[in-house]
Amino acid sequence: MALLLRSVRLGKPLFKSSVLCFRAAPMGTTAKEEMNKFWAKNSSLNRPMSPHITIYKWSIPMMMSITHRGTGIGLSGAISAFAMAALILPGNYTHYLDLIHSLSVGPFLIGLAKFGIAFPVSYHTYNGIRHLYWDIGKGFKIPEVYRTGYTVIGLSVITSIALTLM
Amino acid sequence: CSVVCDKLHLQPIDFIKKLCMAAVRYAQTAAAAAVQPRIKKFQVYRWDPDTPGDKPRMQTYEIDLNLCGPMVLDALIKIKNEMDSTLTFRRSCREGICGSCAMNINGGNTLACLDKIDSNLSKPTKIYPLPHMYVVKDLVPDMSNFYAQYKSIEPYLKKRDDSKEGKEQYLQSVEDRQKLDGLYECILCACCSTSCPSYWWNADKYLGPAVLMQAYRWMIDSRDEFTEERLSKLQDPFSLYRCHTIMNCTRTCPKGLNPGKAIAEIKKMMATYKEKKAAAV
Repeated sequence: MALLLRSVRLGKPLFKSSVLCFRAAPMGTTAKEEMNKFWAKNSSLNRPMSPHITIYKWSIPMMMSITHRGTGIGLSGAISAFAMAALILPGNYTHYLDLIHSLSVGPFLIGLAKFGIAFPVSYHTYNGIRHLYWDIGKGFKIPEVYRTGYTVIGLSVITSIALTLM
Repeated sequence: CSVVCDKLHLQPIDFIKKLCMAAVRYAQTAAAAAVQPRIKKFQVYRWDPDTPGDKPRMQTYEIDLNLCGPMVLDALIKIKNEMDSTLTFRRSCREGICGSCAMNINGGNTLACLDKIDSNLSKPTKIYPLPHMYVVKDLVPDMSNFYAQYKSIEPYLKKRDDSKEGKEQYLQSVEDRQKLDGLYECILCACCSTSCPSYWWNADKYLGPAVLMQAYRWMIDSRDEFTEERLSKLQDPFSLYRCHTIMNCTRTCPKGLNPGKAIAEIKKMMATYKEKKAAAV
């Protein structure tokens, strides 16, 4: 609205003087125009991009956020792979269970595999609850972010160990 | 001596005392000047657009902290004044209110004028420009996109009826004014937006925490009548919803504000404003 008024006003002389000031074109750029100009200018000038992931200091909340994404992708992929395997591979469930039993893997490796499944499940679940807590607008002060974060890590480790030992 | 005592309105014993104290102070000052220099290393990102083929590099400067002010900006100014006048950076108020000196110091985004130099001499201070921004020169990033995004949210009071503009104050209750606390103090330094990995990857379409917090500032201003339109402008997958509550923004804000919370409040309003509109019809 202001932009329109500005462009109309500048079409005619503003004051009586021997020198008349004319502005034929409307002034000002829209936000979208400015953004386009920004991208065009910077790509043509070949300016470097300032470093980011290589220099930014890591923190617990940042690591927890990317771990949530990582475990989410891992779990999603594992379930899809399991589903595809169930659809495509010949033989039924008991056949593959016997196959795994026949492999002489020590209890340590079995435990490791169990932990490897239990930890992503528990971490993603507990951090998911933390995300839901954020979605209702609570726990946004930095000390609260750390407190809930440590709680999630603690619960995940305890639950994973418990599930592994079962 | 008696003439001096009379002139200064002092007893001779007091005059002797004062003379002794002055002598001690003089000796102390002389001793202080001979104290060991505390040399701190500063590693600063450098890039010159006017040198053809120049690549970004780190340059190390050494400063005696005994001869420098306490803040990182003091060190940068000392380097520019005494050691390397080509070092380029933005600065203005030197008191944390203008937002010009925003940069990445030791891995975190802050204002150089508010960040105390770490007196641990064994570790260098690493200074980079704000992350994932096009570099104009040395520590100066191109902020135009950030400003254009701010412009796009229409950060001014909008009323349905413009005819009453300028006639009277638009009254606001104390409770309504308190809702703006923690939002209006933003100095648009861009520390938060440039700390957000989502903004790093999607600076073209995601608005970033600073701009979103200002959008919220206008949404909840009781005097503004375009809340619904402001909300509907964010109704796409990118403008608001690239926020995944990473919370780097609130951690890094040099003014102690909470953009992460403001964004969460916007998301809550986004969930219900259409129902409110439908219910009102």
